[in-house]
Amino acid sequence: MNHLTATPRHTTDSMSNLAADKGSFRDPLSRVFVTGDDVIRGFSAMGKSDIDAVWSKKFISDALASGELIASEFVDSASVGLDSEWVAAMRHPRLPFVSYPYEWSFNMLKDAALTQLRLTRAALADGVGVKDATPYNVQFVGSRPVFIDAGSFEVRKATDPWYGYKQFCEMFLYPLMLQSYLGVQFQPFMRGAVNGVSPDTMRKLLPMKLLRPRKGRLIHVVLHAAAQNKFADTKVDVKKQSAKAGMSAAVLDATLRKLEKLVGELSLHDKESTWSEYSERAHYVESSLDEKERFVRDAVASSHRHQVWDIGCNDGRFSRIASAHSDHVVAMDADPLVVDRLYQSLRNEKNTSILPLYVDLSDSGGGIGWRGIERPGIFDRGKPDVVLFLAVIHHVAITFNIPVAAQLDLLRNLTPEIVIEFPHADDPMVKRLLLNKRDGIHSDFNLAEFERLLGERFDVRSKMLLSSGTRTIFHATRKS
Amino acid sequence: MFSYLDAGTGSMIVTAIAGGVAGIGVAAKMGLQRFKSKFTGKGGQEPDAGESSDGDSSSHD
Repeated sequence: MNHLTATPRHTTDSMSNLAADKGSFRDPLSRVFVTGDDVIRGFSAMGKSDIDAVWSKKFISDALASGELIASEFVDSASVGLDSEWVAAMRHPRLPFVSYPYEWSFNMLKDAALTQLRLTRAALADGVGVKDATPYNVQFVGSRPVFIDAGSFEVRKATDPWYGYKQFCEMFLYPLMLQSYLGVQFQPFMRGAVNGVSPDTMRKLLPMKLLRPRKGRLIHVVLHAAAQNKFADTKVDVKKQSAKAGMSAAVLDATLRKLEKLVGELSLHDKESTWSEYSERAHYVESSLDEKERFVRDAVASSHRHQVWDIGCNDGRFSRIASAHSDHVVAMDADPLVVDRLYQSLRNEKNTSILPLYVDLSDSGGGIGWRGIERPGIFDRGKPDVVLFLAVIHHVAITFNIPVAAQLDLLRNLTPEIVIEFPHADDPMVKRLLLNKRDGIHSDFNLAEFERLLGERFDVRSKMLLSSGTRTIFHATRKS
Repeated sequence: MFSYLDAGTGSMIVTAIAGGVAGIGVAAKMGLQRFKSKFTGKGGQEPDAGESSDGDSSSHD
């Protein structure tokens, strides 16, 4: 289980000349290293014997050809600088941006789950086991899920169990059930616990429903939790037990097939959300929107960009404009339903350059997992050339009480260039946000103060008052 | 050779049950082994002297 960081996070690994990825350590048989633009996966002697045995299999060539498995090229481990502990190595392409399941929308996690199940089934048919089942092994290139852990495959005996089942439940199935059956967002659970939702927790969260039984609950949740509790103290050799009981690839294939069906039937029950129905756009006259589009296009198109972030992307209108002038766009929004709709639209287009993510700016940035660095925070995973910050600042300032200066500090640390929209104090949306706030508490939320704070940190290249008369948009570069 | 994740007896029985008709016999046999182990002290294992196998699924993965 590991990831390929988009931005090198170099650590000195005492066993290697290269920088080991901080999220790559749970599986002792392989490890990911980053060096410049290369991502190298090293295999231990035990890992090499697995990869040698499985790499010629048909499911591997099929998955490589379809792009479902990340492109992989064998390289000489010593010549790429790996320590002698790593006796084989592969080179992978660098991902544009690494994202985590707690930043995905429902259908992103669902597609990642189906990718995991499809690969596990295909491997099984070729006599190969997939040793784990974690969404951290899947990444999105735009809207396309890609399985990135070439170290997940191992030789299996015909009677071996599926080691990843419990993990699949904890990290794919239960989060999807939470959303689908209870309408509860899974993202806070996944961010709160890097290992996901345990069977016991899920059993307590998901009550029985007589009129509309929840598919999969009885076996994967209730029975699973009971079996976990019942057998927690057993001292048994699982492999021998499995073999004696007659476990087979056919049994596991039936299990995987049923899980595919179950996951495939889980749906978001797309309902109205804050921003999906009530659009910020309601406040624009059409001419304002056109002006804004032109302004953003001119700002982004002034040179070719490697990576653009669109914070508060809504339906992705401006992400698409930025995408025409950049290699990759990371489109973020604080409404997971909005993100899901954008994802589905990008998926339908087979878009691989815009990555939609659920990010709540008021609660972002921390790393999770081992020592808080196993899965780094979002601001440590990319270096955007430009950040679009359109119609966001008033929500964060007024609703979440995060000062305008603090938001501009974040932007200054994050990027050399911004396109930022500031709604004035008399903007209808600002008035609405202030409606139930104490009078005067946000009296510093005004254009003059904003321009003063902006000017301390950025040089304004251009600005325009939108024809609505209540919003000004700025293109600014960081002061050197 | 074990994988780095612990499949765990409980999860493994459920995997078989989840396979429906194909797996129910396997699950039943595993359950039976568990039942027998209560009387014999052996849970489907044939341990070498001094070997302690680890089937605690709740603590390692």
